[in-house]
Amino acid sequence: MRTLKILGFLLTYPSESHKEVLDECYNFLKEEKWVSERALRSLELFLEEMRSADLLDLQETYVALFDRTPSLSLHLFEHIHGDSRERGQALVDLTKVYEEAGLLINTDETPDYLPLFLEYVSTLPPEDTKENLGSVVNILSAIAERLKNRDSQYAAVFETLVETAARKPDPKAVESALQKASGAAYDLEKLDAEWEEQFAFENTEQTTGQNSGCPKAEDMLARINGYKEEERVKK
Amino acid sequence: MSYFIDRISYFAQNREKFSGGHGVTTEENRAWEKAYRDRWSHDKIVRSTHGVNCTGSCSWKIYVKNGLITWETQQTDYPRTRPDLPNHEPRGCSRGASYSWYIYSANRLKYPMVRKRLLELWRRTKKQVGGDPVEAWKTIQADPILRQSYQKVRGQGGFVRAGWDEANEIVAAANIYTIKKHGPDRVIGFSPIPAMSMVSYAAGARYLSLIGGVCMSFYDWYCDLPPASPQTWGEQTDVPESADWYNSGFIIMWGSNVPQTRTPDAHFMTEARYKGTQVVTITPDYSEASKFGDIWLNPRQGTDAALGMAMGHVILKEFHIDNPSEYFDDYCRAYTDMPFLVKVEKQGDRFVPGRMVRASDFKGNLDEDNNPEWKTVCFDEETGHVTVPTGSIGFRWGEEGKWNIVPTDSKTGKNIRPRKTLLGDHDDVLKVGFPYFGGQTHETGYFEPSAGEDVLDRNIPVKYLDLNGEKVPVACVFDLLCANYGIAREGLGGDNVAADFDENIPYTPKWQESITGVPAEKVIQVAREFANNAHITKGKSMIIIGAAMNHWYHMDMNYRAAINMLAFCGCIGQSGGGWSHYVGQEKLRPQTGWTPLAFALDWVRPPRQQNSTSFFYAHTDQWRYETLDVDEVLSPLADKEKWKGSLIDCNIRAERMGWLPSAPQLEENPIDLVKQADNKNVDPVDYVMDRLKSGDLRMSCEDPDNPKNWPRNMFVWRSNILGSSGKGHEYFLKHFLGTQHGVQGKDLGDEGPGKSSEVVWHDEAPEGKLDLVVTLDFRMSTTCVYSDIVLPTASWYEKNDLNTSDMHPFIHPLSKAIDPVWQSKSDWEIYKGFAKKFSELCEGHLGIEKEIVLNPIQHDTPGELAQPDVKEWRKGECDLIPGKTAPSMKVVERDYPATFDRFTSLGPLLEKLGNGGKGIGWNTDHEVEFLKKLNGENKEGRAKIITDIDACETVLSLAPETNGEVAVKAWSALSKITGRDHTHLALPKEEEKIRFRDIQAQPRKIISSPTWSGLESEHVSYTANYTNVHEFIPWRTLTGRQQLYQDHPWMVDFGEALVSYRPPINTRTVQNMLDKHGKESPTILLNFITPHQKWGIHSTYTDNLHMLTLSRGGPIVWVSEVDANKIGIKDNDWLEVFNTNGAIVARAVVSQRVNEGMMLMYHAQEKLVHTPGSKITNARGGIHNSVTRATIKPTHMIGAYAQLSYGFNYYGTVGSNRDEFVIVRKMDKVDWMDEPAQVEAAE
Repeated sequence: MRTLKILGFLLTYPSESHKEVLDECYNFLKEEKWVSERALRSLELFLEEMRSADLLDLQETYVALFDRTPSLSLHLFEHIHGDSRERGQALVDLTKVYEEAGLLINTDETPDYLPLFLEYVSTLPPEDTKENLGSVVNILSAIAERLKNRDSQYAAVFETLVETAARKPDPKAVESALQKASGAAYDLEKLDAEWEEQFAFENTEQTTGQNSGCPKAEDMLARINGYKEEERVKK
Repeated sequence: MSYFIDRISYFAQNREKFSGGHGVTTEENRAWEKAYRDRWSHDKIVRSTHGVNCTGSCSWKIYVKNGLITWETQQTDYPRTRPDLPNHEPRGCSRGASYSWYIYSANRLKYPMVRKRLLELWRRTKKQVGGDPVEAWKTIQADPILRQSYQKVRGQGGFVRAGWDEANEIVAAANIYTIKKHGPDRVIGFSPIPAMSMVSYAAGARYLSLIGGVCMSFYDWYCDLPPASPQTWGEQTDVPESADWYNSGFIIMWGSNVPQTRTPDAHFMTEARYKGTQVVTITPDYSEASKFGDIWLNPRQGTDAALGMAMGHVILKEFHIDNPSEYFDDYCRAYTDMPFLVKVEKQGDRFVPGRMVRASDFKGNLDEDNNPEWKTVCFDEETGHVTVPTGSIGFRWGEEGKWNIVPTDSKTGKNIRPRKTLLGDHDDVLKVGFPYFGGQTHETGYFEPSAGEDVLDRNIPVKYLDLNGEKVPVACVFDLLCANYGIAREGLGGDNVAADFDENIPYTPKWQESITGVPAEKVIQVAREFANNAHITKGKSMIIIGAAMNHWYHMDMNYRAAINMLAFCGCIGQSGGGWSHYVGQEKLRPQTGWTPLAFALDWVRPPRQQNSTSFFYAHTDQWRYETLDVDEVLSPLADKEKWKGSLIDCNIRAERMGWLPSAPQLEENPIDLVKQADNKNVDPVDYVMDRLKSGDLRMSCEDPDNPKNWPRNMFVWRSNILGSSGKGHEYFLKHFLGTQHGVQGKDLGDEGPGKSSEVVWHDEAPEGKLDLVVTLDFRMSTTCVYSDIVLPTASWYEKNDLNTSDMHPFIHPLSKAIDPVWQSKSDWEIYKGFAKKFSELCEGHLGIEKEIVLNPIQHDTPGELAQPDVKEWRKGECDLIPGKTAPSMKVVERDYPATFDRFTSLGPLLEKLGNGGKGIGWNTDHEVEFLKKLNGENKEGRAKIITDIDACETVLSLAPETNGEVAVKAWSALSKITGRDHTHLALPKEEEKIRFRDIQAQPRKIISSPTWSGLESEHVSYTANYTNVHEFIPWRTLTGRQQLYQDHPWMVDFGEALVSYRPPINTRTVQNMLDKHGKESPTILLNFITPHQKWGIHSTYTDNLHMLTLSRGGPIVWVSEVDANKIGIKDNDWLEVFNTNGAIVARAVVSQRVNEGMMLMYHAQEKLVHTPGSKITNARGGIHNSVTRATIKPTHMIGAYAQLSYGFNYYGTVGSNRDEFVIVRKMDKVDWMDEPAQVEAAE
């Protein structure tokens, strides 16, 4: 199935050769009919913009979005593990998953690089494909929202991926991810609230989580549990 | 029968319970355990470390699985110390442990990047000019509009990825064009702290040195270099390893936050407490270190010298005068300049201490034919005669065998007993004036003056000597010291001296109370116990001293006050005692093996090295805003007429006299100058000399704003100069880079060109001197953000390199656990890539070129005896003689197309000229042959240096510290000079050769070498100055002893011949701003302090989530509760912190820890995380250095005078920053400036 490979390709750094194959990309997407009409239309707009924009401008935008903004990172584990030391092991595990499927990584990219992951997913039977996309749908959806907040057409690619996944994104998870980084200009009050020193042991109105008392620790736990949940789903 | 068969069974039917029925073995599936087992499994463990500017130098285990880093843990296999001494392990801290995130982080730099506007311009122009990259660069630089088009967006995003080849091409083309058009000395590079990753440093330095570029110093610029160390010992920084703290009986932690900033070593201090060592902590705030003190003294910040003077007063009085300690007395006679004689000169109706008496002052030079003007004298107590003891600096050069400090008369060879005081044997008592600065008022009223005349007359005993036919009174240093400290002595009488500690006379314990706020009885107690411990233990009292003491304009007073205490008590050079200055990771143990590699001394000598402080002061135009007059820091005894002009004038004079280096050097291209001379058929040196003398050619320093004299290309690697160490940050942005800045002050142009008499003034200040800024880093630091080209380097687990520290005696590696990720490359490979491209593109532009290199007169060379007097050729006071009255000048030849070949092989000068350092030289034939075998030979038969491991092996083979054979050679070379056999210190290790694979297996203890003054032995911990005291090797100073009296005319004129207390200077950065903004909302004035931090090592780690979570994240400043109350600041409020230098926006941490009147902002918080806009600057809030500006000090410019001679990262101006005040106010609205920033970036 080529659609996912093409969507992955569209998320790579735009180069000279990019522009030449845009038509071809569109035709494949259209022929393969994996994506909905609506998605196809928004992808068409995206492709149009790619076609008309100056290449250096495209590259600058790309660097600013995907290279320089962690909340838009194309490395999936940035969104799952962030700067934690679990990241290395998770990368090892994911490599193993690819190897079990007979795929050896042949690039200087890490295995959680989204276009690479999409290529792997594209080799799977259709149900597995959707299932796999489902496992990262919350991340994809959050990135899509952030891109929309920045008025970036790249959002179309992510929305398409979300649409094709087996599961709908969990609105709560996406909302909480967006709260951490909305992608748009800062909401000052929210930011202030986030910065407000929180009392470690005044264990009053805890609405979620472990009732551990420390909101920061709780935050971490929630993330860890979220990851475990995803792991479980993956298996 | 069947029953029987049934009964025979080797198997049990049921599992038995055990442990009395409490235990049972169950049978469920255990496959789940695999996950855990895999979690902690790995393919290999690799030894590496974090090459960050930290003295920790901790070895780590890096776990690698499937080519990916999974985690790291601390190594625990350091070689043991000794029985009865704790070991160095484990080493590490939370910061280092948070490192592995950098590898795969979203913040990681993954691809070479170029500013879009520049790349666009580059591609277009290159096409236009037909493809020649050098021509393309020329075209871009020729058009000011094109040039500005990318300069003015520096710092505002807008990067695109580029291929390595294209990035290299731009860099090489820019370098070639710059060399051709302006000269090689217009290409500069900044990289600090070689010790943390020596080969990575060497990579850039080697490239720059081969092409004639300039390596910039760091230690002085960071203000970590304590000039008091070279002044006293002729050595930059040599300190005890941390294990030696344990041997101490009394530790003062003075301005050093040991548990916070020396985390892996702090245990030696706490362990020492268990065996009864007393610990005193001296910090203005209640720091982490305070709780370890049995006594905590909290002087007002910036007044430490007053405290030190008072303690010195107590020690001198009680242990040298009232009830002399025999040990102290013997020590000071032998190892300090206390017995040496100083001329007492008439000035008006009083006398003043002047020059030290030299053999040349006597008729017949006291029979000293060699360097009599550099041989100091004292009285021999046994004979009562004047004697010339061996060991002064005159004995170091031009003769052999007498440069040692065994107390011996140089002529007779007989032992002497130097007389320490003339009291009792004196001819007369004279009233001698000492400058007093304690009465100076501060602009903010914060630092309280302690009244007193500005000159204090005190009586001292003198003898009269016949000096060249004149009857001259002389005094010995000890008597001057006692008078200087204000101690009343029997039989002398006079004013301004105290017989009692309770008298309020400078510098009694009582006197310091009003200045420091510390009760006198505490001062007396600490001083007395400190000295008493040293008396009993023969010197085992120690002062651990930190940046907080050194970052003040008058840091030398803080340091010399502390050093004097140690010298008075015989602690220097004794295990468990001494001066433990740990600021800056300066201990490059295999230094002499590394210098040839780093500065390409194997191919071309001399290299260009520049002191950064003076350079940045001039070239970021901070001098144009100078508000400190020379007058203000002069001694009240100095002749003001002699000192008209401004601080930069002093620096220019120093450069012209060959004291300080210059970069760029001459107003014309040094390649062109040699060509001109060749055309005229004259010697290029004579040609340049003649033109300089006639004024037809000028040194660049005289006109730093002239485009002819601008630095043009700058490399930054292993450094975050703009986010961390750039004092006067906003001036960098404005003048150096030419981009958006927050400078609020006007330069002196409005008031006319100030008082400058030497420097050329341009009404219009240049903005954007640099054509190209290239930064190598593994994360997007603030410096990267402001660069034109950003190149991704391999991080510390992706390259091979060497690491050492002053904290432990080991050398250990950084190792390549995995290949560099994404498109990153090691620094070695990156510079090799530049060299390759540079060599290729040279064709048609640069060939074999000759150029003239200027070099300051260097310490540890015969040149250090160049100028017994201060005379300026420019003013006609003497002739211009290169290397004597002016910088040395040398014509060198560079084979530019061969740059790559030279970079990757070991050049012929090692065999031809040998190797060495610190005034000792040796032959290297064996090592070079060895390297040919080890690294292989290239087609010219030279040893290859292709890989980073080759480079490591080169360092290890050439250095005495890692090659026993070289150590023996080095010691025997020194033995010749001293006349004493020192080879026994290395002979047992002659066959030991440490190689790269050895240190990968385990950190190795280095071999004792004369490069350092301590020993690596099984009997003593490494402690500095040990060989001076125990092997009688002289200190590299005028007297060869610890120099407590500084007799250089500039030292005398600036009032620092002897130590005193000098209050912080007036930086004048707040009043204008108060006038302008003071009424908008309530404000307070605070003294701005930038201590080492808890959640990062400088800027590294501060941007990772772990550390951001542990701190508050984003920029924070600490204020006291008292100050917060004054303007209603609540914890976590946003504050605007500003002065004329710029503005910072940060959150308030309101804390009892902080004392009133002071604000702490941890060094170094970058612009990367949460930096909202400032209303003052209408730009994004700055970094901690946005409110600072460097101010230089004339005494640090002195050169060509024994220990006060220039050495790279040894002596020179330093970038102090703690005298600064800021205005603080609450922000009512926080503006994140997200919208405009995006618009601009997308532009």
